[in-house]
Parts: sequence; C-alpha cells; structure tokens
Amino acid sequence: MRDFLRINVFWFLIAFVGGVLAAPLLEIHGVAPDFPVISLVVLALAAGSYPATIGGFLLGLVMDLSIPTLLGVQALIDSCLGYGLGRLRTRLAYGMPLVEATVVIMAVLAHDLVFLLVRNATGGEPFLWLFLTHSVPTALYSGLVAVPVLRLAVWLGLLYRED
Amino acid sequence: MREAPAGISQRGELAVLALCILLSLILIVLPGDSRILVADRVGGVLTAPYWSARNFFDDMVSLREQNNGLRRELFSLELETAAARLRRHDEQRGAGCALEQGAHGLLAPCRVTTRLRGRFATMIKITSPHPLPWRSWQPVVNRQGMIGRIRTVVGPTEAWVELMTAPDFALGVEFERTGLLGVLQPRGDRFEIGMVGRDEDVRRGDLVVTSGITELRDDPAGEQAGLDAPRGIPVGRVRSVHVPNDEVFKEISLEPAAVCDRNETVFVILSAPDEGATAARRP
Repeated sequence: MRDFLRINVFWFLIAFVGGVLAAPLLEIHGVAPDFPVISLVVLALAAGSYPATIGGFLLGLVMDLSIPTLLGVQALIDSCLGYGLGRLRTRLAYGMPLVEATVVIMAVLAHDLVFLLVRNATGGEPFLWLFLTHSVPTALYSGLVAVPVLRLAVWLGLLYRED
Repeated sequence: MREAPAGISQRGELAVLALCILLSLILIVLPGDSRILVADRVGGVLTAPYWSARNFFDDMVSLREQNNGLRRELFSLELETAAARLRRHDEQRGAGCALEQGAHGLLAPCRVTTRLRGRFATMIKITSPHPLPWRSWQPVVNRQGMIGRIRTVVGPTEAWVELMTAPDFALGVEFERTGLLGVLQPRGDRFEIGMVGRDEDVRRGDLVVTSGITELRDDPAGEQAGLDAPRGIPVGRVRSVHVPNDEVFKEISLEPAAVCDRNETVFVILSAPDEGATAARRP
C-alpha cells in the first residue's frame, strides 16, 4: 500500500508539477520536455500495465480537457501507451540510462505520431512539418530529461530491480 | 522482475485496457458541442481547483503590477499638482524662492521587503520588479511623502534605503505657505527644521515640502554627492514652533508625513531620462 502511494505521488508530481512548473523553465525555443509522458513511463516501469493503463487514461483525459474538440484522443493514446509500456517493462534491460531514455523518446514519438495524425485528419494541419519540428526535438529533450528523473525514481526505490 | 499486482491477470489488464479504449471512443464520437460540454463538466471536477488556484496567484501577481503602475501614475499626478500649487503660491507672493522647478524624474515602484522593527532601525530594503539603474542618494518616497534615500545598491533589483530618521540625514525643505527655506535634520526620535530666522512667519500645521536644494557631502569615493530630491515632495507638517530668547533661529519641530511598512509600495525617483526611463515605465 505504501509503495502504491509513493509511486502514485511520484508520477503525479512528475506529470503535473513538472509539466506546470518545470517545463516552462526548461523550454528552449518552444521545445520543452513532455513530462506527462515521462511520468507515464515511470508509472509503467514502476507499477506495470494495469495502473499504467488507468493512469494513462486519466492523464490523457486531463490533457484532452485543454483541447475539448479532440476529447478522448489523448486518453485513448495514453491508455494504449501505458498498457504497452507496462508490458514492455518485463523485457527491458534495467539500469541502463540509454535504454530508459530510448523508451521515453519512443513513447513521446508514438504519442505525437498518433495525436498529430488524428489532428491532421480532423483539422488539416501539416502533420510532417509539426512532427519533425516539434515532436522530434521534444522527444529527444524528454529522453534527456527522463534520465535524471528515472534515476531519482530508482534512488527512491520506486523502480524495482531483482537482478 | 515484478509482475502484475496480485489478483490482476493478463486478462484483467486487457479488460481494463478495453474499458479505457471504450470510454475514449465514446468521448471521441460525441457530437462536437456535446464533447465540449462534457470536457467542460469533467474539467470542472478534475482541473478547476488547479486553475482556480493558479488564476488566483496569477491575479495576485498581476494585481501587484497593476497596482504599482496605478500608484505611480497617481503619485505623478499628485506631484504635478503639488508643483502647480507651489508655482501659484510663488506667483501670489510676487517672488519665488529663486529655485528651479526641479524635474520630478521617473518614479520607479518598489516593494519594501525588509523593515526591521528595532528602535534604532533606520534602514529598509526595497526590491524592484525590474532592474533599475539606481545609485546612492536617489530619493525614495511614497504617496504620503519623503521617506529617505538610496544608501546601498545591492543589485539591479535590490537596494537598501536610509530613512529620514538616520542620524546624519539632512534635507533641504521649504514651507509651502511662505516659501521659507530650512534644513531638516533628525534629532533622536523627532525632526527639527533649522536655519529659519526667529522673525520668520512659521505656524503650527504649515506644510513642509522638499526645496530642491541639495546638500553636498563627500562620499567614500572622494566625490561630492547629495540627496537629489526634486522640489515639492511633502515632508511633513509643523508640529510646534518655539523662539528661544537667546537664539537667532526658531526651534521648529516637524511631524513627518510618510511612514512605511513592510510590503508597501514606495518609489525611487530616478533622476534623468536615461536607461532608467525604460525600466521604470516598463509594466
């Protein structure tokens, strides 16, 4: 129960406090780390598919509230992302920052790919341009920022290791 | 590796995923307006507390900024009024005091962030929201009147102010009603105006304003500097007037106009329309 609370408090802090307070401070030319996705990776690696699916749904729903016309899209994406990351958890080589950063990068890219495709389908925005100029730098930056965040989670004993 | 929590099988995980996907799809397929209404209702539960708190703090910050701007404008108008009143008095008397009408300079709003409560506290620390080109001896005022002068500049946004109660403080003052000049100095826990002849017309309750006359002193750098306060800033009112038999000057006691407290807005009068102009006027 205690671990459950700690994990949830931690990912909640990363998602919302990180997104609200840290992201504007870390922003470089309009590119800031995607703290919600980083927190989802932390949750999935720490707790598995079941919590990550629900967490992803709630996280996506909260993010959708700022774009009501696309309500449900990010909830759907993040649910699937949480489930996939949770399943991936048992197949990762733990303790390697490069692996963890790559997971975050792939997660951000997957999230943005689907989201931008949906937005492109509904609004006709230039998908490729946005993906290359916004999503890719965001993914790389998020991967960079995720390394210390995940190290912190390991240090706090939230990411369990048995090997 | 840690597996799924006890009691949650892979089938259960898939069921949760299916439920989330179903809910998401229901939200996605809602008609346009309904979707926005649902988002609004859900937002009222999930994010309204956060936005309320954030807006409240944003309002606090912006209100302080706006307040500073309004106070500055108001004080500028009050200073202009005071200057106009002085000019009218000069004309009515038929003779001015032969001083230039001092430029009011630029008012840079600052917040009093440190005010010691000790008996001998004669300094306050002020903080500006924007970097200022301030320097020692620049006058510090609030809407009530003169407070002191910049003593030490800590940085572009912070400075220590020496209050008028500081032992070596001196200020050229003028009696608004008559145009008489004098020198204000603190004497322990009160203020006295010296250099006013015993036969001069000074009454209890007379308004005393800055005269614009600067007392030059040697500063540690070996240069002469002084409090460059423009004419017309209220300093206080005459509390009592005595004429000792054996003195050539009156003994005039003054009730200061301005008091300042922590978190109050004060203004530094930047002397020239230089780089400070931009900083001081920046919202």
